[in-house]
Amino acid sequence: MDNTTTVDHVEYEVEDYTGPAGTTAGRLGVWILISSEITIFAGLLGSYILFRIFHPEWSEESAHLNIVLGTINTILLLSSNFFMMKAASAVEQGNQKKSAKLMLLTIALGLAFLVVKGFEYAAEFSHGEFPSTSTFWSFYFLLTGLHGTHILGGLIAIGILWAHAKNDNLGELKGRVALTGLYWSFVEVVWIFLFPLLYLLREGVAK
Amino acid sequence: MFDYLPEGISSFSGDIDSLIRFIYLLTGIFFVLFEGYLIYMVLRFRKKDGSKAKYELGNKWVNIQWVVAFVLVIVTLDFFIDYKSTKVWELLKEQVPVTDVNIKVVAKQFDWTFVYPDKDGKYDTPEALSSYRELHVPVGKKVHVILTSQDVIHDFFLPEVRLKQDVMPGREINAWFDTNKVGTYHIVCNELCGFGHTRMLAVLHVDDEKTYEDWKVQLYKQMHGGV
Amino acid sequence: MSQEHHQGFFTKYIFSTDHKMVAKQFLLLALSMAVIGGFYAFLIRWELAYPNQPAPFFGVVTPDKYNAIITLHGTIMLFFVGMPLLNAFPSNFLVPLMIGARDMAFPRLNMASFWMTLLAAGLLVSSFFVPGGPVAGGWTGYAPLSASSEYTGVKMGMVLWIISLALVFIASSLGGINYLVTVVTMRAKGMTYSRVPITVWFLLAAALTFFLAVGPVLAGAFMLLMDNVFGTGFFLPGKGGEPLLWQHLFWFFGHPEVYVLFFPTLGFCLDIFAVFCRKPIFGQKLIIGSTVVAIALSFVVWAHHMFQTGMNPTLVTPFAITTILISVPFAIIYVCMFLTIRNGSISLEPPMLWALGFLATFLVGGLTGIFLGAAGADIYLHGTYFVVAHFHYTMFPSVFFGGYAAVNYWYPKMFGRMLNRMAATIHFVLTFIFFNCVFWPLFIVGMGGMVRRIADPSFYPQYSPFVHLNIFATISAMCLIATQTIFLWNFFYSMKNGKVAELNPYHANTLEWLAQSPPPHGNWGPKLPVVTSGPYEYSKPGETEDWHTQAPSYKGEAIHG
Repeated sequence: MDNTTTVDHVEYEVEDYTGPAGTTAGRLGVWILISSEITIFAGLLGSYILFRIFHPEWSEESAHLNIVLGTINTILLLSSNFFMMKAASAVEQGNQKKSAKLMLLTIALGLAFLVVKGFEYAAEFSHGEFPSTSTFWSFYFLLTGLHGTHILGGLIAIGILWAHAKNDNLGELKGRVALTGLYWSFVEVVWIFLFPLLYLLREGVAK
Repeated sequence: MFDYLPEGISSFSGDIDSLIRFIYLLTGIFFVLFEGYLIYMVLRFRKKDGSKAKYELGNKWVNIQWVVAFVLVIVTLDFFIDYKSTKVWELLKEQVPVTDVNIKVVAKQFDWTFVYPDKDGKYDTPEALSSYRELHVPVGKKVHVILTSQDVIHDFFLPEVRLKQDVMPGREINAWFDTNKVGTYHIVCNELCGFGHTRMLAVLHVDDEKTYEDWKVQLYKQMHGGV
Repeated sequence: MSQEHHQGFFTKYIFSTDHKMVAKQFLLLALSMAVIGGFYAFLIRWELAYPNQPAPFFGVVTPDKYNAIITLHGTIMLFFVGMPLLNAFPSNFLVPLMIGARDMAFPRLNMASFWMTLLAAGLLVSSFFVPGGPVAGGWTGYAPLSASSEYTGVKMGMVLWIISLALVFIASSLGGINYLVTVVTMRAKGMTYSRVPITVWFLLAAALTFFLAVGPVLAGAFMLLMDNVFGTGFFLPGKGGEPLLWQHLFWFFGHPEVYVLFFPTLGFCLDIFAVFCRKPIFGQKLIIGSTVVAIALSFVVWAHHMFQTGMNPTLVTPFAITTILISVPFAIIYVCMFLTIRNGSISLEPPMLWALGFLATFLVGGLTGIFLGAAGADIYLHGTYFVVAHFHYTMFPSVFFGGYAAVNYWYPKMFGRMLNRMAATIHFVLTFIFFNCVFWPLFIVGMGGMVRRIADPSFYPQYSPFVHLNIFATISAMCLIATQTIFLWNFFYSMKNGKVAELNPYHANTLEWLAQSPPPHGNWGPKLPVVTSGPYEYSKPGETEDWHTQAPSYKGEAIHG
C-alpha cells in the first residue's frame, strides 16, 4: 500500500510502517521494549529467589511486610489496568472524551498505588527497616523501588495522552493509547510476580 | 612460545604442560593451514584480465556438506582436547586427596598469612603458627590449603606448581598441591584486589623434612619469644 | 512522515533526527573516545615497560592511577568505542538505506539514543576529575572490591561509572529496538527477507543479542550502586551478600556482549568480500542459520569466564561443552568467508585489506580461546597475559579492523568523497604490523606466568626475563597509536579535499549505493526503490556486467535537502 506526502508540490512515496499480520511499528517496538525489561526484572527476581532458597530465615523478615496494604495495591493496579483497557477501546470507538475520563481513573488508581507504597515505606523506615538493614530489605526496596519508577513513567505517559484526549486532540497519538496500555499491563504483571514472592512467601522455599 | 614457561615442580605440572603443548600443536596446525590458504587465495585469485569470478551460492547441501564435515572434524578435536583437560581438572579441582599437611591461607588487602594448625588441627589457638608472606612446605608431600579472604576476592597462584584458585571472602575454599623439588618459588595474587594488588607477593619455600621442621620450631619461638 | 526541507544549523547538525546525521554523531563520538582509550593504552604499556618512570604527557603512573587507567581503557574501548563504532554508527547509517527506507521507525528515539550515550560518555569523563578519582575495579568490576569505597578507595568515581554504564546500556537497547522495528516494518517493495543484505542481518543479530542479554547486568548495576551508596550488602559477605552473584550477572551479559561487537564485523567483511571478489557470499542460508544458533548458545557459555572462582567444579563440564559447541557456528561462518573469497576476482582496495586482515588476526584470537576453554589449561593461563593477548586478538580485529573496513568502504557514500588510497593502504599495513608486534609477545609472557593488572612488573623478580619483550610491546604500541593519526588525517582531510566520489565507485549491488553521496534528508527521490533481486548477483553467467543492482528501475532524482 502506497502512502504519499507532498513537499514543495512534489509527491513523495512514504513507507506504510506495517509489519507481519498488520502489526504496526509502534506495537512491535513496545513488545521488544517489554522483552528487554523482562530480562531486567528476571535478573533481579532470579537473584532474589536464589538468595531466598539459601536463606530460609528471610521469612521472618518478610513477615514484617504488610499483606493488607500489598493486597490493596494489587487490587488498585488491577483496576487501573482494567480502566486503561477500556480507555483504549473508547479511542478505537472514536470517543476521545470518554477515553480521557477512563484514563483519568487509571491515573488516579495508579497514583493511589504509589501513595499506599509511600505509606508502607514510611512505616518500614519508622521500624528501622532500611535498604541497608539486611539483604532481604535491600531486595525489597530495590524491587519495589524499580517497579515504582516504572509506574511513575507509565503515569506520566498516560497523563500526556489524557491531556490530548480530553480536548479531542489525540490526532496521530491515537494508536499510542493502546500501546501505553500494553506497557501498563507489563507493569502490572511485574507486580503480580513481586507481590507473592516478597509478601506471601512465608516458610521459605526449601521446605 | 614456551621459552619462559617456569619449571614445573608438582606431580601434575607435567600433565598441565603437556595439555597446553597438545593444544598448541593442534591449534598450530590449523593456524598454518588457514593462514597459508588465505595467502594462497589472495595470490591465486587476484583480479586478472580475462578471468571471471565463479558464481557459486553454496546454498545446496551438496556444496555445504564439506563445510559442515570440516567443522565437525575441528569440533571433534576440540572435544578430545577437552576430554584430556577434564582429567587434569578432576584431579586438581574436584577432589582433595588425603594430605599430610594442612595449611590455612588467609588473604587480605594486601598480604598473605599462612596459618599452620596446632596438634589438634585448630587454626585459631595460640599454638597455631602464623607465617607472614612465607609459605613453607615439606617436599614430596601433599599439601591441603584452606583458602579464605578477609575482604575482597584474591587469587592464590603458584606458577611453578601450576595451581590457581580464587580466594573468596565469607567462604573457605579447599585446594591441594604437592611439590617434588626443593627450592624457593613464587606466590602471586592473580585477581585485582585494590591499589596494593601489585605488591601482593609471597614466597614458597619447598624444604626437605629437616629444614621444614626446624623452620616451624623457629617460627614458634619467634611467635612466643620474649615471654 | 514529513520531509523538513529547510533545516537550520541546530536541526541539521546538532538535534538531528536524520539517521545519517545520528550515525555520524556516533562515529565522531567513537573516534573521540578512541583517542582517550588509546592514550590510556599508551600509559598502560609505558608503565609496564618503564615502571615508575614519568610517562610523557602524564607523569608517574602510580598503582592507584594504574588501576583506574586499566578500568577506563576497557570500559571506554568496549562501550564508548566498540558499540558506537560497530553497532550504533553502521546500524544508523546503513539500515534504512540498505532496505530502501527514508529513515528509522522512530527518528526521535534515535536522537535520544545518541544524546543519552553522549551524556553517559560525559559522566564517565567527568569521573576523572572528582575527588577520589575515577573507577578502579577493573572493567569487570568484581565485587566486593567494587561494592564499597573502603576496598577501592574510590566513591564518586565508582558511582559515576555505574550510572554511565546504565545509561549507555539503556541507550543501546533503545537503538536496537529502532533497528529491529525498522527492518520488520519499513522494507521497500520487493525487499523480502532473503534479499536483505547480510550486513543488516548481522547488525540485527547484534541488536537482538544485546537487549536480551543486558537485563541481568542492569539488575546487577542497580545492586552495585545500592551497595556503594546505600550501604546494602548484595555482594558483601559481611552483610549477607554473595560476591559470585555479581560475576554471574555480569558474565551472563558479558559473554553475549563480545558477540554484539563481533557480529557487525562479520557482516561488513562478508559484504566487502562479495563486492571486492565479485562473487556471491557462499552459503548465505548456512551463515544465517549458524548466526541464530550462535545467538542461542551465547547465553549458555558465560561461566567459562569463572572456572577458577571456586564455583562448584562440576559446573565446569557443562559450560566447557557449550563453549566448544559455540565454536561450531562461528567456524562455519569463518569457513564460508574463505569460500566466498575462493574462486573470486580479488581487488585489494583498503576495505578488502581490512577484511582480509580481520580474517588473519581473528583466527589467532579464536584459536587461543581453545586454550582457555579447556579448564585444565585454564588453571595455569587464567588471569595471565595470555588472556590479555587472546581478547585483544579478538576484540581489536572486531572493533578496529572491522570498524576501519566499514568506514573505508562506506566513506564515499557518507561524504561524497574518496579517502586517499595510498594513505589508507599505508594505515592498514602499519596497523597490521604494529598490532601483531604489540600483542604476540603477550602470549609469550603470559605463558611465562606474568599476571595481568599489576602496575609494577619490576617488583616481580621472576618477570625480569620479560623486560625486553615488554619494552618491545610498548614501543610497538606507541607506533600503533601514532599510525592511527594517518587515519584521522585522511578521514577529516578527505571530507573536503578528497577526490569527488562517483555514485557507486565499487559497483556494488546493495541499495545504499543508488542514493546520492551523501544521501539527502529522506534518502530517496519521489519514488522509493523497487527491489527485484538479491544483493549478491555478482559475475552471474550470461550477464554483460559483473554486477546487478538490487533496484534497476530506480532513477535517483534529487529531492530538496
